[in-house]
Amino acid sequence: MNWVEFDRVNLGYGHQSVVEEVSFALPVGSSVGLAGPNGAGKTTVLKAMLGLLPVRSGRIARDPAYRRATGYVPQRGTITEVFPFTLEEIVEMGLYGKMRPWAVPNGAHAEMVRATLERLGLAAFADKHFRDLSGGQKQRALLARALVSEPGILVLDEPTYGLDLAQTQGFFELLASFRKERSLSLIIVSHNLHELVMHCEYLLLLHQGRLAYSGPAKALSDDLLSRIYGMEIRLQGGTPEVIHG
Amino acid sequence: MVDQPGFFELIGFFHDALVVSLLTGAILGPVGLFLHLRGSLFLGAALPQFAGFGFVVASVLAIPEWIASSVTIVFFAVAAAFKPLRKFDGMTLEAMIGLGYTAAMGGIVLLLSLTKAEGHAAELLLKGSMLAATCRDTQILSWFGVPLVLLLYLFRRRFYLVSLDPETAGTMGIRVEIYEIVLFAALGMAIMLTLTEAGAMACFGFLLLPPLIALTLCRRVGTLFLASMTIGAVGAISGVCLALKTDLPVGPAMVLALLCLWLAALVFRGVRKPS
Repeated sequence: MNWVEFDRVNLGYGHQSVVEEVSFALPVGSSVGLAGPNGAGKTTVLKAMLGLLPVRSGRIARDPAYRRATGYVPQRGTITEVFPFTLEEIVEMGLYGKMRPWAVPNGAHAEMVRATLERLGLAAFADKHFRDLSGGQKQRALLARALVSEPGILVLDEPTYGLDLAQTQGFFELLASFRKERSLSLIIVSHNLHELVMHCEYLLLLHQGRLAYSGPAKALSDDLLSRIYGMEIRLQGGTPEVIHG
Repeated sequence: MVDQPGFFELIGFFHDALVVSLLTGAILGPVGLFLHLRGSLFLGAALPQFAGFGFVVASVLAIPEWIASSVTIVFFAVAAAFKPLRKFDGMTLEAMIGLGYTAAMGGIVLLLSLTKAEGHAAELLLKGSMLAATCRDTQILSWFGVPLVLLLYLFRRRFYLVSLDPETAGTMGIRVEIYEIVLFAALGMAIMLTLTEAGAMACFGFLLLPPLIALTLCRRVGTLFLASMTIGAVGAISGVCLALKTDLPVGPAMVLALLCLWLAALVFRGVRKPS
């Protein structure tokens, strides 16, 4: 069973076409990486997947059961740090979609927030201001916000941007454990092809607004990668490496 | 020889001005909070000018002020959202707001000079006419302004999320565009309700300074809304009292009072030990 299907979808902004004739289907429970060079249309496809961008032509079908069960982890830099929101308040926002607009979070909501923070190792920082957290803590906070509502699908946009190697590894381990516990479907958008090949089952590779590859992450070919990125790339044990000289 | 009225006699005489100023500060303060969150303070400067231009057009055409200023504000919103204009180099949203701001301010002065009412421009733009407030002004502010603030307070969590992270709000099924329209309408309404008494300069001052002071003093988001309201009200009343005491124009006096509160907040924040 698929949670989303793209059928010859064209997307764009104003008169500019960004993505053309993209077709794919994402099975429930899969982990999918969405990759491609800058300007390939990754964010555009992501927005359409989330229902934030209408199609110009084609069809996007979403399983109704998963329509509202999507957790989204944006790029860390999109959260303004002018206001003194605490970590707890940021995570609590993940429940607003399930509450009435005028509702005040109650004890049950507080318990859900507390349990999620504990699971992500952030309970000790609940009262700390979001802006005072480290890069890795902020990213886990945004993950907590997405997970607190217990979604069936998790969409992450450049989740490891600005994280060091240890933080990145820790983040993916956390993600893997949640996926196993909750049978989550994952979509990860990243510039880092290595991460996607290592941590995702399937890969969607965009090139110049079209889908250049759709299949198992580890079945990518050297030729295709070299053509798309405009440099000689070899896959060494499943990991893409640029060949110099 | 006639005795000059004492300060407290003046306060009693201008009690409507005190009540209207309190309501003005309490309405504009929390509305400005959302401008800070969205990084749209320039909009808070431009909209009073648009509303003011509408007021002047209304007086020239002898039509109700609220109609003319609503039309000018909506016209501005549509123009700012008109995407074909953005194709030209330099036409960012900020540039368009600035364009409208300059055009509205110039339009006010020019239109009033044509009608030989330049002095009115100074009232509208700079000084306001708080001391001329009447019981009817109090009623209008109470009937429309209080429900407006209550609406913003009741739905504040949604407005915070929509302002902070509209994309994530959209993925949760929240109708972001509706909340943004409501916020913009609330901003426009708050300005239209308070512009005549406060003047365009003080209007922007109340949108800017009470939330800024609240952000300086408050450690928690939960207290920001009520703090902005309270600081707005205190600043407004202080300004009126200062104006009465020193025979200064009320609008600038209110801004001066708010600036003094801001400086005091900075000092307090500086000496307060971090928790």
